[in-house]
Amino acid sequence: MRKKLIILSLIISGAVAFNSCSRKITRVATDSQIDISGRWNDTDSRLAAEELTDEIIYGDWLTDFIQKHGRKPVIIVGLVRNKSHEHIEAETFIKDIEKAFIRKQKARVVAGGKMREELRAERADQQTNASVSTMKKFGLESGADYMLQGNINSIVDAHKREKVVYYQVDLELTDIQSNEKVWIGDKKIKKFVKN
Amino acid sequence: MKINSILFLVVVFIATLSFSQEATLVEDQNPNYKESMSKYQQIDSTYILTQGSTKQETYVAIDPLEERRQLRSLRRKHRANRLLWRHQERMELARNGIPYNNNDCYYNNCGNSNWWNYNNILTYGSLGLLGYYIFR
Repeated sequence: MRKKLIILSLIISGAVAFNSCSRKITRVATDSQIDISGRWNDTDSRLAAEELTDEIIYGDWLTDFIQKHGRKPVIIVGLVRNKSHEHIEAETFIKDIEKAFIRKQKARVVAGGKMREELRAERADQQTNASVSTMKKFGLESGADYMLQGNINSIVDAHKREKVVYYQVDLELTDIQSNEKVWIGDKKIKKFVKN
Repeated sequence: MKINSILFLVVVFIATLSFSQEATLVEDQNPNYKESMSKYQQIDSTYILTQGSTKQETYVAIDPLEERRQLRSLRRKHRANRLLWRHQERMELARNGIPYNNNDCYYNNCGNSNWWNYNNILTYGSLGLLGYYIFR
């Protein structure tokens, strides 16, 4: 009896130890809020994307442009400066804004930066290698009307085991011809972290 | 002669046409725009290549807890690498020899310690024993 008890307890403790050592991974919904370290995370990016997308798509600048020119504006995404204290990639929420423009057909978006260089390189390659009927021509790109630029700033107030972090994401839409800022949007996030 | 004069007039007409095209300005356009245009056409394409990206210009926030964490992590890394670093140091010394001006008493004999040198003990000890057995 004693021997059986010892064997049983060994099996149970072995099972518990095995389970505690193994890593547990669970798939969760992409919009679920899970805050672990208190730093900028996917929830912050999603909140910024939602608010900024709504503000820019339903802004007066769009209706004014369409009334004045009778066509949809062309937008290019410029540089976003991260002046905060953490590494933040603005592409996680800027891409949502571009997607919203295209899905809702409110504005036209043109490629910029390295992606545009890649397109031009492909076009150049087509001049020598593609058939005459299929090769694309230079000098026919759509010039952008507006450029979307931004800044990310933060303020940290920390004392002992408590910390308050404030993030501000600012985006601006500027007329490329006249340098006029037609829209400014921002998203403010404040977090209280206790260790 | 007539053909030459007609040809001359045609050339003058084309020349004036091209000049007039260059001088055409849009309403309210600054006539010095070419200065700015040539400056920005020659500028480095880094501005264009950074479009759509995020420039990281981060700063280090004042956070004592974070500083303590980083110091702790640095101490752990140093502890983990100490053996390797000491081994690398010994390998370098073996390759390049002890540096001439090195005042490091760890690797150099800074004191007069020959009397307890292992080789000397063996030599003198064996000589002493030999003398004992010869002259006893």
